[in-house]
Amino acid sequence: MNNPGVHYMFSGRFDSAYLSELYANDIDTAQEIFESSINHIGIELNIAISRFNSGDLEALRRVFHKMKPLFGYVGLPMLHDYVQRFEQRCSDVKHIEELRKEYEDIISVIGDTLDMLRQELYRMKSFNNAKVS
Amino acid sequence: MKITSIIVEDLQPSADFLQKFCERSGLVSVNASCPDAEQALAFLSENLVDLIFLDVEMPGLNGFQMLDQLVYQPQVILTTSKPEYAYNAFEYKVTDFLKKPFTYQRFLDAVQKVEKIRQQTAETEDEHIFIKVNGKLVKLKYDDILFMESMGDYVKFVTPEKRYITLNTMKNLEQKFCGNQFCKVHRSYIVNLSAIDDIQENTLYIKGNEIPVSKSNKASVLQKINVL
Repeated sequence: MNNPGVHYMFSGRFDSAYLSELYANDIDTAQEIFESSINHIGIELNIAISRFNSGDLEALRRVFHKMKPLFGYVGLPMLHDYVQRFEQRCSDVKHIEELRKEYEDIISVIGDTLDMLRQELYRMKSFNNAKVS
Repeated sequence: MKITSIIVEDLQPSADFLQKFCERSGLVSVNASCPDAEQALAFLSENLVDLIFLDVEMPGLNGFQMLDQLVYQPQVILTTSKPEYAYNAFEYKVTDFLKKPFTYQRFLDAVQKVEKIRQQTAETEDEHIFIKVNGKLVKLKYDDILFMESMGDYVKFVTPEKRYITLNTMKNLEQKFCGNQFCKVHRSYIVNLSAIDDIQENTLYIKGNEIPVSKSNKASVLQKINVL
């Protein structure tokens, strides 16, 4: 629900202008979507690792395609674009091994991002709990 | 009346996100949320909706393959993160294309397009009626109805090709039809004014059919037709 008097400030690494537009200061909804996105990014990350190890390029591309919008919902458009470039690379190369370095980088970046997202989710939960109490 | 919809989306946060926007708008009710095209097709085979929010890349059938299999096509808003699908979207005449993630304002613009088309369609649909004949519903375009004749508890609808008899009363039909296009000319007849071929004294003729015009109705009939 909207709380026009109480504004949540997203941490500096998030695109707060975009998130404000997306959630219109409805931090309950933002919390729900963040929580759900974090869960799904975690799930898709494990699937991506499995697809890379099995050498299935098209399946790997589909995983990143599916994961991509999740970074938009959590206010990380740069990461969204990064994943989009990697998705495109999956279509461009012939052999999965050509992607190994980029793949290892993106997996590491997404892993770090998950930590950051969990911290933000914790902040949001505290904010929403404080409102209730 | 709200726009009825179905969300077809394999990624749960995207479906949740869309559902929240629908709730926030107060314009769209979500009748079902399906994670793949097969479930959506099963739902749509038994339920009518105004709108499908449709993802493209899904396990099994993709969004376009699903559209190919639909018996009737509601309006479609494609929701995808791949702008490359815009050309196909155009080919499939979808109402709008939302690139994920999209803002609430962009969502609202798309929904307003749907509403506008829905209203235009509703206006066009007013130009026909379904009548029950021998246990089935038959569609009659207003323009095709030459006249209606009372037969006690039944009414005969006459078109250039066929005659249909249905259980109804002239009183009901008078309320439903009489206006600019149709006019009651006799206690047993309502005619389509644009179908009249000629009028002589107290009789009018429509495609060889002779229809009496009562004295009490004659003045209003003459008022409604273009007499030089």
